[in-house]
Amino acid sequence: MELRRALLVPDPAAEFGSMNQQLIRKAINGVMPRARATGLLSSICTFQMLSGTRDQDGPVNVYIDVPGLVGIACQRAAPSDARIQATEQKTIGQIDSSNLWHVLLDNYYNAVSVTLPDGQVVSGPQTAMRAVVDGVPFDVLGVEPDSQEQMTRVQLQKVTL
Amino acid sequence: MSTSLERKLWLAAQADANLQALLGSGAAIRWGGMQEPQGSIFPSVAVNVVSAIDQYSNTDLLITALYRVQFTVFDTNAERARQVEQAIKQFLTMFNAYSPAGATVLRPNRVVMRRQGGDPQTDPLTYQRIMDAMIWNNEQT
Repeated sequence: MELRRALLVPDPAAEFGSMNQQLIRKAINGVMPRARATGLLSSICTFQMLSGTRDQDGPVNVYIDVPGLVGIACQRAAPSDARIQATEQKTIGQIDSSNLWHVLLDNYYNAVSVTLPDGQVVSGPQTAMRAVVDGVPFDVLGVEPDSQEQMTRVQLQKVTL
Repeated sequence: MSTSLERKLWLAAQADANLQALLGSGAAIRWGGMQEPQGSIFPSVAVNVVSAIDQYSNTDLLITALYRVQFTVFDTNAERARQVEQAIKQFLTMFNAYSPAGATVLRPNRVVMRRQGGDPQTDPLTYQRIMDAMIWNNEQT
């Protein structure tokens, strides 16, 4: 939505000057509904956390869905559309190859209250969680909400040997 | 032409029942090479010659050399990685690159270091068991 300067600047002389802030809010509120309406959010993301079970090697690799963060419509894309990112790291011991994704969730999820297995209460997706996108588990490297609380973006990584 | 210690180890590993059960059989056994091959099935073992010591008499180069060989087990299952480590320890009780195999010959292998490691970048963590063994090798066979 395009906003002209006359709408953005308070003007006592304007007949509907008191509506300016509401128009901005309305425009912001319309961003994600329009994004969802495009149909581009065609992937499904579910956040999972470790179950909290431990054995002699530390946390057992059993994940459970995070309540409130299940089946989220999202769009995943490469982190850069300009060039291929070189993500292979070679050592004598092994070759790590990382697969990075930038994922836009369909809404603002940082207000979702989550109780972790250790009792800690956090808000929204965390880097300690993993994200399963279209059935493939990824490590969550970062979570970024927007300042207007409309959307949540996450950076995901999958490293293979 | 003599056979390298790496190849002797690889051929002997293929004939070891315990290692076969864990690492596959025949030439497809997941054993050898300095690196963990990309996309490998776990568990697998990388074999790296850390150093070799050649010995001389006052007149000649002796035919036996002492190798420090590092075995690194890679697996996403820590307990299974330990099973492979145990299988390698058992394998070294039979492996002899020092002299022709026989009931009376010595197999003077010596494990001088064992520790665990891991690659935390992967999910789940890729566990490693690292073992250094001193192995005598006949350089002329």
